[in-house]
Amino acid sequence: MAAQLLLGKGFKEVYNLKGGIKAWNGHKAAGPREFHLTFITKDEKPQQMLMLAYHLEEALRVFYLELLERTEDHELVGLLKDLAAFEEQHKNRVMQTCQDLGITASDTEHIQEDIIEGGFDKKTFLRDNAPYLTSPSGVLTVAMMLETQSLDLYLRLAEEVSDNTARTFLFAIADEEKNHLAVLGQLLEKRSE
Amino acid sequence: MGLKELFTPVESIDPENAQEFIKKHKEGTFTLLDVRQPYEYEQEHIPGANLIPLPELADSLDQLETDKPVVVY
Repeated sequence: MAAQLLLGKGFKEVYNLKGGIKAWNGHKAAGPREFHLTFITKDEKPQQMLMLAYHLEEALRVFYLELLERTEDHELVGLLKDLAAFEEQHKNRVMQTCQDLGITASDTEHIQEDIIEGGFDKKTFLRDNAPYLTSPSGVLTVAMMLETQSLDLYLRLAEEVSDNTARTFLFAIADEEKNHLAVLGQLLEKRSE
Repeated sequence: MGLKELFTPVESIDPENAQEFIKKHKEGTFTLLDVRQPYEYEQEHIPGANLIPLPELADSLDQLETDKPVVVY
């Protein structure tokens, strides 16, 4: 019905997702459309989006390192180190993307560590997810959930901001998140073999 | 909706192919459209999906770009 309407209104290429969301076996995000967008004025400059992305990635890196302190499990320690290293890479790619787009970074020193990637409050998140954060597969599942939420957040932001460079930056960072999710998925699959 | 639209064949896409499509296409070059109600979107949605509930769709088409492929659910 929606697809027919779009085709009738001049849309060139329209696909109906077979089975709808119920049949969807890919990543899923949750939360209302305006989730964490209340702080957005829509007039944000690319620099502000850069700072936001950089902070979210850094906070998640610190989060993994904190989990590292809580465990003695050899395998889990290795995984958390890898995940923290991913975020470090991700931060560097954020900066690289900015250079490519000609966005100059201001100071990246003041890092808000209580909000982690995807926009979660760290304390609440740790409390609610504690039972899942004790095994490698649990940590991977939580990591994928966080990455999915941040992918969704970046894309919702991209829809809102009016600045074209800011939007291009957000789309590029979203593509990074997609790649990151694919890597996490492979890691999880390896464990279940 | 006119009679002509009623008979326009709509192409379906399998979830697996849709995942492949999303993986292959850069963000910003396609549209994911969620036409369900806001409470359904809130429970779960495909990351990056645009929410335009079906009853509002006809009046909200200016939010979407006609030259980008759309995957709708």
